[in-house]
Amino acid sequence: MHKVMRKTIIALVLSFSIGCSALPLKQTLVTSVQIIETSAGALQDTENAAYKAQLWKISPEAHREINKRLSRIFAAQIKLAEVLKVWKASDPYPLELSEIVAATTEIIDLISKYGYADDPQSQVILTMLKAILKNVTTFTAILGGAK
Amino acid sequence: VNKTEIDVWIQIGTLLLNAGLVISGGIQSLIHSVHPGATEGQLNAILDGIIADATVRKARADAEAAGK
Repeated sequence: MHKVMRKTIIALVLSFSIGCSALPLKQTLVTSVQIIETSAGALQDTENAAYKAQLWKISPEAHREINKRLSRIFAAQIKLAEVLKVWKASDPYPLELSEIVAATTEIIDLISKYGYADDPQSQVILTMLKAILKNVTTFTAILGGAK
Repeated sequence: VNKTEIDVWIQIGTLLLNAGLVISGGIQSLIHSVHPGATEGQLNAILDGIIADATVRKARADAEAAGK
């Protein structure tokens, strides 16, 4: 629990740093990737804990489908971090950003498809999913500003 | 109400509380402590940490997706 709390605090603190133009570009991009990774991690921890405690009463099938997309998000994050290690401002946008957006959007669609969108617990999950999308959008804006 | 249930609600409550703190600007002063003056090597080390963490998380997600 404390690990989740710590990561949540870090994610929220780091969210402010994205707009800090005084930081060199790579610092900002690394911070931004950390935010995406931390927010996705908090999502995984919350979804998993809420599902297993039966606080979020989704079906096993829905849980499996959501985790398939989480796996894609983390796979894309791994590639994104690898790309960033050698990335230069003249390089094209990392394709991994599109994969993170696609998988995150699919989870949002799954929650509606399975009929959980109106559950109070779903609102917490949906808020976290939207935070991931917002963080990717911010990352893309930073890259755009670097060109 | 079991311990796990309490833990989950504390997590959710903490999320909301922290969101409130951020909105109020109470922890904004901590922003400037994020990677100040980090070198290229230090930033790449951070990225390596992200890769390691994401690798573990991907494995967890794969296990959950497989119903394990």
